[in-house]
Amino acid sequence: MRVRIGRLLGGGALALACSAPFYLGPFALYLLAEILAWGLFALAFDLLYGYAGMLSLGQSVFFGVGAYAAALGLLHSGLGGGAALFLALGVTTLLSLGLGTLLVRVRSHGFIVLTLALAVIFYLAALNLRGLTGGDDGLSVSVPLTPRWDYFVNLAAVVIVFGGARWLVRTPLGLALQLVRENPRRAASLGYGVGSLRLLAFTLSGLLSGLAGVLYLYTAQFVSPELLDWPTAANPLIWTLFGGAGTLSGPLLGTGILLLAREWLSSWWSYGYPILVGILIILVVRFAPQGLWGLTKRWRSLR
Amino acid sequence: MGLGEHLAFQALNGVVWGLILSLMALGLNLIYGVLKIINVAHGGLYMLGAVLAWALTPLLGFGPALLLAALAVGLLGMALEVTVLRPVEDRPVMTIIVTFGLLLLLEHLVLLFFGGAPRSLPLPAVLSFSLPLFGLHYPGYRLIVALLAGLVAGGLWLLLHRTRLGLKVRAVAQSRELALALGLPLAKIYLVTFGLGAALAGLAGALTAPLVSVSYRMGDPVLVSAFVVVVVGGLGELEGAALAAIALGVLEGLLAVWTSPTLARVLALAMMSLTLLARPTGLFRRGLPEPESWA
Repeated sequence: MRVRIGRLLGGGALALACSAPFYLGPFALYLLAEILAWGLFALAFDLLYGYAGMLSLGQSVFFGVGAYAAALGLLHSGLGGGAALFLALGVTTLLSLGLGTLLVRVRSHGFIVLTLALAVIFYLAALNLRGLTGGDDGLSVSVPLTPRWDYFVNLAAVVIVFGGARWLVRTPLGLALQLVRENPRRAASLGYGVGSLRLLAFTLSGLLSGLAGVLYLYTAQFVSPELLDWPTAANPLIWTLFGGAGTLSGPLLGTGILLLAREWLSSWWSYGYPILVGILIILVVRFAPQGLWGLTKRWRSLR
Repeated sequence: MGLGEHLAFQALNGVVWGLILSLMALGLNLIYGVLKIINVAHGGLYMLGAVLAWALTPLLGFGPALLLAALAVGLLGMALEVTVLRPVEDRPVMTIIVTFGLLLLLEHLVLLFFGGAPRSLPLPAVLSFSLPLFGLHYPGYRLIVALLAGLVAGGLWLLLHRTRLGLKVRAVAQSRELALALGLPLAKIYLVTFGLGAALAGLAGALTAPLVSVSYRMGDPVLVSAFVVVVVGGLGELEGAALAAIALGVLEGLLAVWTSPTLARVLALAMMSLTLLARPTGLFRRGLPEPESWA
């Protein structure tokens, strides 16, 4: 029964999402498209943190580099939207593979601090390289996509990645990743290559974060160095935690609710969102460490 | 100013900045050593110290404002430890997230009540003098800051190594279970340690207030530097953190002779981080590496 209810809800949400462009105004559609891009970012973060157990505060690096690579491809190389997308994916994959090779050597707190330092280093370097990144002003691009098509592109990307991730976490490989999260020592003694599994998770998360960055660029048509800084990387952590870490629906749910809340709050109390989020994080960790999705699970098992 | 003087000036600046940073790093590392918490809110406590010093100086004068700011931040830290942190203290990653929530709250409550515009705290006339040093006129207040920071760090060492309280704190840092078995009041020691660490952050912020512009986000870059320094020095190794802080300060100062300050910061952070790849447990860490603690 439980499974069917879940599928019903998922199918309903998908049907609503597919038909949204036909009854929503342009601003609401833009907001939804942006939420989808950020939701994908949160999903990429959750694969790394919720499934492989690596808390990174530097995923903004891949989000921002993806967005910048696509923007530079569009502006300087005369690439089309599709080619720029693939260029950006190639760049972020190589970057996350390279940085991951170094980073997986360092464990727990060292990893958290190094990813944080990485985000700051990339942000400050981008601020400094005005010629390439536009410095404080950022770069504007015009993407040959109508808002409606842009929305559908984002939706398709989220659906495909969600489906792929759902498949992945149930394969033996996905289960091995979760074993590494739960007990790295046992994983190692069972013969799993803990380092390679972590590297795989890091690269995959980097690639998907880059994809999210490109989708964000195509929606917002603007990129600036702030996208690389660590507060950008802290966002998916907040959204994922709120929705439910270690689940696939949780990050999407959390991103949707919190970004809608930000939009709603910003209209009448501009300081409200960070204060709300600060209080919310403390309460969620204290009373519902599994997030919203965990709460619904608890509720379902009570019945 | 020739290259020699420029180098000396920047190296001195680096030492001063490194000593301030070491106050931050000592607090952060003390809290980590005893409570096993990575306190992301430390940047917020630093900022609060500076803001309080800015707000209280016109009422009380600079010296008392400095002390009161450190004291108030220490008390706030104790209150936060009891109310917010205690329930999640046994889950390391959760404490990172909770203290991040605290950082957001602190920063934006200050933004709400204090405004976003950067403020400057003018130095009292008594303190704005300069001393001839290595053939240049070095601002005297910076030397006073360095001296005070060094004294406080030394005082902390004495507190930890020459008093009964310090003995208890070190016992808990060494083995929580054994300390508990010996009947040490764990909750009280946690409280005192967190308060002490917070007060150090508040003091660092208050001391820096006349040197930089005071605003609600001023703690973020300092927090990042302090984190890097603590991990590079070795988690839980107080002397290591202090040394790494001074090294980072001097490195950043000297690099700024040749490049822009931003690029100097990038290079210094990158160089410090690279040492972690060679020694993943930190430069000065003695004994076994930390067990994996992700949960």
